[in-house]
Amino acid sequence: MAAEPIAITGAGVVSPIGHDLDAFWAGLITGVSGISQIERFPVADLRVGRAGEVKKLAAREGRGLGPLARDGRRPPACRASRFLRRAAEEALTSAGFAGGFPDPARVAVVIGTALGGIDDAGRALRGHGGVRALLGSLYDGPTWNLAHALGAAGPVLTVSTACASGATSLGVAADLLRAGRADWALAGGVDVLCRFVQRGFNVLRSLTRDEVRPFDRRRSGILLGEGAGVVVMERPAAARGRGHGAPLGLLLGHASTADGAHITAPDPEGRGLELAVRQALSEAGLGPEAVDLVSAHGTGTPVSDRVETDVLKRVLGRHAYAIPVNSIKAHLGHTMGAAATLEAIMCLLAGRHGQVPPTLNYGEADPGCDLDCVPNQARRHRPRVSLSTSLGFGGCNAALVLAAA
Amino acid sequence: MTPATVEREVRHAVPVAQAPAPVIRGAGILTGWGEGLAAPDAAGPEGARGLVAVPTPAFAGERFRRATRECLLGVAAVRAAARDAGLDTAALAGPRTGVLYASATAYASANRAFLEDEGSTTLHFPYTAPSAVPAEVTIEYGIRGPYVNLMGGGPTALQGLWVAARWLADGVADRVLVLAVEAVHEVWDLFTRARRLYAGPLIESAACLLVEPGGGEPLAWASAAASGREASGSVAAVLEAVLRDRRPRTLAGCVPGRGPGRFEAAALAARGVAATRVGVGDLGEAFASGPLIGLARARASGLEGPCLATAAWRQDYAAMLWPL
Repeated sequence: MAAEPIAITGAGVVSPIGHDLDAFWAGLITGVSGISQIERFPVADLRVGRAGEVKKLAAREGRGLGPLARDGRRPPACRASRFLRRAAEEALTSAGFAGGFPDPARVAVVIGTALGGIDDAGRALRGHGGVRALLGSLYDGPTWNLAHALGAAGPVLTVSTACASGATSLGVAADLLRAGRADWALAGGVDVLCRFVQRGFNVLRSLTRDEVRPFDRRRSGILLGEGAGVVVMERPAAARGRGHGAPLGLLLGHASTADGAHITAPDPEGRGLELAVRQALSEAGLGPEAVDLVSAHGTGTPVSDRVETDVLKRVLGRHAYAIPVNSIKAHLGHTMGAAATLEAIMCLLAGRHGQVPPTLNYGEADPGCDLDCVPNQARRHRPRVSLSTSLGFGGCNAALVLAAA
Repeated sequence: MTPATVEREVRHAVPVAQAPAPVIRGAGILTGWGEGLAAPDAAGPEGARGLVAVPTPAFAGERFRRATRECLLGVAAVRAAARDAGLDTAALAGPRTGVLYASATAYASANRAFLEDEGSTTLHFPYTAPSAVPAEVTIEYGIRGPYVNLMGGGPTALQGLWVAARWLADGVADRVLVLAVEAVHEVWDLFTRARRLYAGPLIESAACLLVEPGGGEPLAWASAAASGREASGSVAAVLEAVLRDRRPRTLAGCVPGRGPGRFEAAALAARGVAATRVGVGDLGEAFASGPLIGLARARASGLEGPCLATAAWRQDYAAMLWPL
C-alpha cells in the first residue's frame, strides 16, 4: 500500500546561479554555469581552485528581511547558517507562512549536511568566537541556528548521509509528518565551500581540471559547489485546510540504503542504489513506467555515472530510454548536502513550468551512459512524476519520488 | 522548582509518536570502564575524572589500517551486539539489516586532524565524514539495508530508535542496528570550553542495540526544544505526553540532575513516578550513547514493565517509553 503523500508547499534556494527560486530556475533553463575561481579562501596551492561559489549573498541577507525578521538576533557568523536562513525565508514566504507558524511546538526542522558547521571549526580551533563558534562548528550547529531563529519547538534533527543528506532529510521529515509528530516541517540541505573540503577533494584527486561533464565520454571528475535548499512540508489536508492553493508538489516516496562496499566509491554493481529506488517507488505505490523524469546524481565521475545508468536501466527497463535523465551538477558544482534538495526542487519546478533543464557540457556519447541526458538545451516536457537519485561517501544512497501538483 | 510549579508550566500539548515496539535482541556496549553492561557499575571514583576514555579495539588484518578509532569502536560494538544476540555476524549481511547511526562527537577528532595538518593525504579525508563510522560497519558486515545517520546528542538516539521501529513495522528490514559512537579524547580540550553543553565527565563510548520486530505494547516517543524559562514546561510536557496513564518501573534516563534533569526529577515526582534508575546519566555525559546504554542496562536488570528513557542535548529534551 502506498504511503500518504506529503505536500511541499514552499521552497527556497541559495545557489551559485541564483539566490532565490526564480533566478535558480532561470539559470537552470538557460544553461548558466555557476563555476568560477574560488575567491573566499586561498586556493593557489591547490591542484584545482574552481567551484560553484555563491557570490555576494551578504548584500541581501542579514537585514531582517522576511519572516525571520522578528527573530531580532544578529545574523549568524556561520556561512551555512546564513544560507539556511536565507533559503528558509523564501520557503516560508512562498508557503504562506510569512508571519510565522501558528504553533511552534508543531514545527519540525530536519536539515541534511555533509559538512555541518566545519567552516566555523577553524575559528574555534584558533580560540576565536568562544563557545558560540565551537557550538556552531558541530554538525548540528546550522540546524539549531535555524531552529532558534524560527522558534521551532518540535523535533530538530540533523541528517548526515554525506552527499545524499538533502534527500534523506526530506524523507525523515515526511515520516515525522505522517506519524503526527509535527504539522509542518522545514526540511532541506546545506553545505558551504571551505578550504577544508576543497583541499580534501584535491588530495583525493576527485576534482577535474576540465568542465564537469555528466554522462559524457570525456568526464573526468567533479567540481564542488555550495548552497542551500529548504522546503516547507505538510500533510495535504492541512495545506488545504489553511486555504493554501496548489502545493509546489508532493513527496510520494523515499528510501535511504547502504552499499556496504567502499569508504568512498560506490558499489560497482549499484545494489544499494537499486534497492533505494525500488523501495522509494514501492512506498509511492508506483511502477517504473510512471516515472516521467529522472534527476540523476550525475556527478561526472567515470564510475558513478556508469553505475547510476546501469541501475536505472535495471529498475526502469526499456522505459529508462524513453524519459529524460538529467544532471544539474555542471550548473552548480556538487553542492554536497544541499544537492539532493536542490535537485528535488528542480524536479517540481520542471513539472510546474513544463520544461526540463539540460545537462551541460555534453559533447561525446559514452556507450556505458546511453540514456537521454537532455544535452545542453532545455526541453519542453512536463513531468508529472520524477525520480531523484543520490549517492554519497560511505556508501549512502537515497531516492525520492516526487509528483508535480 | 516544585512539582506543583512543573504542573503549572505544562503549556504545550506535545504530540507523541507511537510505533510497534521492537525487542532488543542484543546489546554491545563499550565504555571507558570496559566492555559490557556491568562495567559502569565499577566506575566508583573514576567517575569523577574529566574524561573516561575508551580503549581502541584491536582488529587483525590489513582492512582497518586506515580506519579511525571511532570506526573501530563502531565495528566492535556491532560485533558485541551480534554476539549478545547469539547471531553470527554473517547473518547481518545483505539488504534486510538496517543501520541507524547517531553521534554528537565522533567526527571531531578526524576533522581536527585534517584541519591542523596541511600535509594530510588521501588516507585521512574520507574519515572526516560522520558517515565513515557506519560505512566501516556496513562494509565489514556486508550490510545493504535501510540507512540513516543523525547528528546530535541523546535525543537523536531516541529518534533513531523510533526510525528503527518504523522500518521494522513497515517491513523494510528484519533487524536494525541502532548504533552510537562518541569519541572525544583528541578534542577534549575543546569540550572543556563548552562545559555548559554537558554535566559530569565525558564518557567515551560505543553502544549498539540490535532490535527486531516485537509485537508487544507500542513504544511512545516525544521531544520538544525549548530554552531558558520555557525549558521546565517543555520537559514536563514531553513527559506528560509520553507517560499518559502508565508509570514506568525503570528509568534509563541519561539526563543528569541539573538543567533539564532538575526539571525532569520534579516532573516525575509530580506524576508519582519513583522507578529504579539504571542509566549512566548520573555518571557523566555519554551523548547519543547514553539512552542506548540505559536501555541495555534496563533490559539486563531483569525488571519488568515499561522503561522510561530520557535525553537532553542543546535545548532539546526527549523521552521514550519502552515496554520491556
